[in-house]
Amino acid sequence: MASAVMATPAARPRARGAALLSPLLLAAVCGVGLVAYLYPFFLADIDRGSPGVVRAGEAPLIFAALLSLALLLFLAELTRQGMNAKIVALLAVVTVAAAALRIPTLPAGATGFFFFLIVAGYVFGPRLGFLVGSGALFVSAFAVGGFGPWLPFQLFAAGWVGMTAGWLGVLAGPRLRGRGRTELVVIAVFAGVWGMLFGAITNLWFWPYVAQGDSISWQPGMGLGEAIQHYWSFYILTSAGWDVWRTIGNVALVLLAGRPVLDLLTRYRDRFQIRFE
Amino acid sequence: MTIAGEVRSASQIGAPPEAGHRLHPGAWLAWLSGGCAAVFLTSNPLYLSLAFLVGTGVYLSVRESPKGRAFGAFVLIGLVFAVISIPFNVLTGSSGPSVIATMPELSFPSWFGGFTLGGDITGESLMTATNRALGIATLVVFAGAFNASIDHFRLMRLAPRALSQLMLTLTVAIVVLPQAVAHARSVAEAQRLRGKPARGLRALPGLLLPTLHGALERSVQRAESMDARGFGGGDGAGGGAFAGVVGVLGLGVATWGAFAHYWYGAGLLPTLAIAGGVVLVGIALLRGAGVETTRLRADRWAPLDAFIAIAAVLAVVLMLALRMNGAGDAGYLAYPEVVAPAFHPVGAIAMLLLLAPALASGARGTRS
Repeated sequence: MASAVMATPAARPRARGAALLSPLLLAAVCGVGLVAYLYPFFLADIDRGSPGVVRAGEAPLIFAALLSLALLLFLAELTRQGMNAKIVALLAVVTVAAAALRIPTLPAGATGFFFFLIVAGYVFGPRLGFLVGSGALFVSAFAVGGFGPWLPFQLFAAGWVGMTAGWLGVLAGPRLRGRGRTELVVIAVFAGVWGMLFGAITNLWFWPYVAQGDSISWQPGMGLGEAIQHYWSFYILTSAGWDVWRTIGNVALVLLAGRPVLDLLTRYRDRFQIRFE
Repeated sequence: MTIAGEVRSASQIGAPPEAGHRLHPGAWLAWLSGGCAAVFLTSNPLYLSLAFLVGTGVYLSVRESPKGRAFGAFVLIGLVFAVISIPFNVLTGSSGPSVIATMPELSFPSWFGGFTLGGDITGESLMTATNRALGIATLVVFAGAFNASIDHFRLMRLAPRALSQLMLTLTVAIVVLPQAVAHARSVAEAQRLRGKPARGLRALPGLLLPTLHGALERSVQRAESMDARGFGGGDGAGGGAFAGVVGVLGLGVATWGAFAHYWYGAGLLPTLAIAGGVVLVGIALLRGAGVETTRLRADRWAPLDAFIAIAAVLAVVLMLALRMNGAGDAGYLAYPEVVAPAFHPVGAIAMLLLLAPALASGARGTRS
């Protein structure tokens, strides 16, 4: 008894420090991930005459490697604690459901992947949301043969979709409880925004390599404003058409099938008594 | 002969038709990384053409696996994308003195990108666009070969210790997939017996929800049986926070190195920062929290696997050396005026080294 009492004061600050440490580490790694995505904009200002310009061609390689490291660290930190058998079993099933939904494509490339990922993230929170997003994309990469240098960028982006859906659930979920229709509309708008954003940020990595035409290309020393203008042109010409369809698909699926899936997942969350924040 | 020996030799003898499967996944990963790195390091059409031929050779040597046949469409789409990128890049704005042809111009309003299509088509932009298309096509065939030959369970075993819990989860997910498909089929069957649509978009809600429900229900039981067998025992284990700090420090140092590489030029300090950062992250991942596991039938590095991995590393080193020396036009630019690229045998050797997996499957194939 006495030992337990004595142990408490020493243990508490340590636990509090550890509880603060993990979010800090996650935020730092996330920041590096974001920087690795946005490298064309960060490098837009380097001097045209500097020796770095000559090496601009290998930037996709360096930042793909950097992002892979960030992703591995992020996943390791996310799964460092609390991965009990319940979480593992539940996460596996939700992941495989999301992965399976990526394969049958609706008209024009839309899939049920984002719909299910966003609903699952909304219900299970940011941590599981990230794991479901990146895990499902990884599993489906086996099924469709999607391994390649682009995969880390897709994994991180899909993870962010689930993670931000989790934030939405944490921030807006309690206020929207009991107001079924409003809740669905909020999730649908969120899914629509990600429909466009996902394409925009995953294409960013490859843009300096793929685009060469004068009005859409990336050049070192072009300046931030011009870089954004050129990327916008590139995005409109290549990805926007697909992304509009994906957005429409996401919104339609959330409005049509969101309610029953939301209820089902919420029921199992409560049954598992998942506490994984 | 021991049982283990029998198992090994049996797996080797049975291998030839899918020889790619038998190579160590680490060797394949090294080959893919090395191949992609070599492609990004050069913009010389001669080396890129060679790399494309090498990648195609390896892809053809592994394509006959069941997976290779399934993923053929993926490679085809990638190649079509590469070909389309040439007119796309040329038409979105060409510059340079060597005008080949002039197309009618079409300008768009600034909110819609503000770009101009058509105009002069120059030899410089055509050359650059062709080089990039070659690069994309090469990446696609490299990825195609990797996808056709990799075994996902063996690949996931390569994950560092810090990711062991996650890999356990993904393994369970992959094992669950066929069960879920079978369950979805039986749900569809039941719906059909009730006279409800079992196909098409209208059937989706009736199919999706019961399937999901059943899968979640079984995951409750799976969690209990995993608990009973001591799986997923990381609950509240914590620990490894120090490794996390080391990893984030390493990541920060590597990030600084990557940007310093561009801001200040490729000096010794940025290179050291990148290398040191990578080492720190590696230590964090290998020494981090996780479950100590032993492997039944661990993947062994055969001499062939080691050869493939070393060849891949060597290819990158040679390409890097060529680039830093400025010899052989490794960083070929079509501007300011298009000229024929120079050629250096070292660049060709670098790319030819990436042919190693094809040699491996050839050697195994003759044994059967």
